[in-house]
Amino acid sequence: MKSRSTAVVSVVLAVLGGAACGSSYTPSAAARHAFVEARATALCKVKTQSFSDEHALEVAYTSSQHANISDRDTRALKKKLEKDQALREEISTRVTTLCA
Amino acid sequence: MRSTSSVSRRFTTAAALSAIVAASSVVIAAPVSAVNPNQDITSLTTTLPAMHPGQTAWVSTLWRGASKDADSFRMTATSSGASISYPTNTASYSSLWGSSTLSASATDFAALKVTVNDSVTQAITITLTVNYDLHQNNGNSNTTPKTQTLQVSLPVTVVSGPAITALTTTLGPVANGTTTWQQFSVRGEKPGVTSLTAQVSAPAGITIAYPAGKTDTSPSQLSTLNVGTTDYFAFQVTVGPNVAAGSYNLTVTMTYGSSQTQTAVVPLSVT
Repeated sequence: MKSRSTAVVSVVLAVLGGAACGSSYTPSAAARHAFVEARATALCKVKTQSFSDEHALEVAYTSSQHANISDRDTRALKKKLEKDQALREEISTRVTTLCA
Repeated sequence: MRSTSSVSRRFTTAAALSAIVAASSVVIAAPVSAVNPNQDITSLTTTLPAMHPGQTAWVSTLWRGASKDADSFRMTATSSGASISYPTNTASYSSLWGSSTLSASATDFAALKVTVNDSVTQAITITLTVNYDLHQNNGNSNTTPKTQTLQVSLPVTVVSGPAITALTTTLGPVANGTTTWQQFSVRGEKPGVTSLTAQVSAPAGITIAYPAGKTDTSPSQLSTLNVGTTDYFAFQVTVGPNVAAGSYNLTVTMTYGSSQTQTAVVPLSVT
């Protein structure tokens, strides 16, 4: 009985913990738009410019990827990129519009 | 009346069904149109950024993912008008920025280090060969490596001005009666700026000395000033105690290659 209660409590804590960590958090449409725009802009930057060394290329790309959104939104959207094909497609479509 | 009512009902029913079908189409169609229908990865690059003869630079090619992940992406390049090298961590090929996988519908880039040959005066062609694996079903569960070969253009613009651009426009300020080290920065614009040295001449009362007691000064990094790179000359300036405050022109004479020279005049501020 005790172990059953412990299991139930563990499940509840795990669910609450997941919620607290923002696993179900969905960024706003505005944040998503800014994220897509920044990613596409960064890709276009490295496509259209040449760089004197690898470091300069890296700095230009990573700095251009920065969107003016909260850290929470950034983390959530970066995580979504791994599984969300539609989000990746949005970025690719924006790249096509911007510079392809 | 009954007939009218029946027609009306049928119309209403048909309209409702049409609306449901239309709504269903939208719901079903949305995910299909939201993903990339391409069966293969595609290059988004046809032309690379322009470079100068002799210039070395990193350029990038953009790649758009297929409808499924492409693993083990590797790109190599060749050109008769340039030499190509790859990022340090891969050495013999370029991978993508994010990883060696181009995820479905994603866009990523692969970079190349390109050195345009000195003698090139017009656009060059770079041939790219990419290898990757889309894990297509070939009936025996094995992977199915794929290869694409394509050509991209790299515009080359010939510099019509001097071989060296002076980046330093003023020197000092230096108080009279003191000695200071000065730096004169330059950028290479044309190939062939090898064995580069500089000598500086100054008006009376101002004396120039060079590092290690030499009779001239060399660039701080390399004796060759490559196209698009910057470097500087260091030299010591001693302003006599009787030199009045003001601006004095120093003449920097740079010698390179087979005794070619180029001069630059730069004002020194004396306080």
